Amino acid sequence: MSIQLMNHEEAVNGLATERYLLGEMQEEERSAFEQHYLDCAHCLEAVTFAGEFMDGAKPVAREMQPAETSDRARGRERRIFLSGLLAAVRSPAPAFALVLLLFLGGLSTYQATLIHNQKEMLAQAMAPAQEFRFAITGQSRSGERAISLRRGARLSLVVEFMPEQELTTYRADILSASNLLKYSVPLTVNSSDDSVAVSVPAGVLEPGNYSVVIRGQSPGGNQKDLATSTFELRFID
Amino acid sequence: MVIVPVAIANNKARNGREVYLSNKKPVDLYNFDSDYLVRLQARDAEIQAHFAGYFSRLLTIRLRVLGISGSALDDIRQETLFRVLREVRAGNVKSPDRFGPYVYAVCNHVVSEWKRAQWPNWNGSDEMPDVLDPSALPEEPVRLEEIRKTVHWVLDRVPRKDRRILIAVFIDERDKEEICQEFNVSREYLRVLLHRALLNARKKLGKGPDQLEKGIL
Repeated sequence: MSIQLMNHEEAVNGLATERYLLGEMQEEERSAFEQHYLDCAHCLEAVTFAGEFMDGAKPVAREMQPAETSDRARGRERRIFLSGLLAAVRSPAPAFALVLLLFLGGLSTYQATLIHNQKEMLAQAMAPAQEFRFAITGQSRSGERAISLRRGARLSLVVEFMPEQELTTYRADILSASNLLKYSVPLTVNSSDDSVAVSVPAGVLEPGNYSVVIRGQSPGGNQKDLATSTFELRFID
Repeated sequence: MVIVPVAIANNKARNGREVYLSNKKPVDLYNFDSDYLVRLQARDAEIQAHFAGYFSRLLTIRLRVLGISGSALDDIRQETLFRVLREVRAGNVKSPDRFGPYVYAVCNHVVSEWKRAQWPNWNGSDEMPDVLDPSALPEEPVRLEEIRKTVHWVLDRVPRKDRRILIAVFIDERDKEEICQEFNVSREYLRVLLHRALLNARKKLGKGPDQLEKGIL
């Protein structure tokens, strides 16, 4: 079987990155481009940048989509309203008054929309960020220690533990139910501390059961788990 | 080229350096050598973190290109990383210069198994958790936020029709032909639209037009 090859010039001229990400390549061409970008710094960066851009576009597009949809709905309503209006204007007498009315109405709607948008922007800018604090100690069965909050909120988990003299660095690991590390926070701990607050953006976790493990490490690299607490995360939006 | 393993990059992030999409490339081209494989075989923490970070991102993009998403994507990616790591530890990977294509070949096998409905053919072990999940890295939320802002900036600046097309591609993941028909645009235009969006994102992130013209995206 002959293996198709692709050089850098072909990749750039043929918009290979875009075609690759849009799933427009046949298997052989895709494989040739993959062989190329795994060995080409420029194309590898282009692919990873574009891949992350496309990933990032999804949540942003989701935020924008309701606005686009309601724009379309408003457009439809506007068209229905205007067609009714045009039927009324067929008699010439009220035409002038109607045009004047439409102009004044349009102007005041425009101003009201502008003011509303500005107020909304100001309200968003001035809104304080809320942090939810939960003290969690020890293990619990699923559902017993359920934390319910919005995805955009910040979650602060307070865990009790005792620092030990031979341990010099500490971190808090948040593990999923299948024991996969989902979040890790380095901690600054004083010998007199008896608890620590681990603050994470709630949106980085999926709903489910988690455990928070406080881990200490000695200068020799020995690691010790000092406390484990469990909780269940639920989202209300 | 200076190669910054993920673990070292993490320390810099912890020391207050911000993480940007362009300037701190998480997937910089890595020239794999036999020393890398030896250290990976010996469970060197930094190399393991680099391995997981480097190939997780590449495999995620690749699997999306293949039309795989959601939990299947996560499972296939983790299974691929695990199998590669297992083969490296067993000393079965002999050509470090072909390590990237080797990982992709393993990924192909895993995808084939998944497609043949032999899934789950899980052969995992307790060793799994030491393949670090890159989404757990402390700087990840900052990086994602930076991407989100850049994408927002770009989508705010493209014409409304182009934005709707991009949204249709990104959100609905519908058949591209259908999208082209609906918006009365060609496939070439769709490609150019994506190219332009990426170019704008690059400009936003400070890459000069000289570099862009040279094809350095």
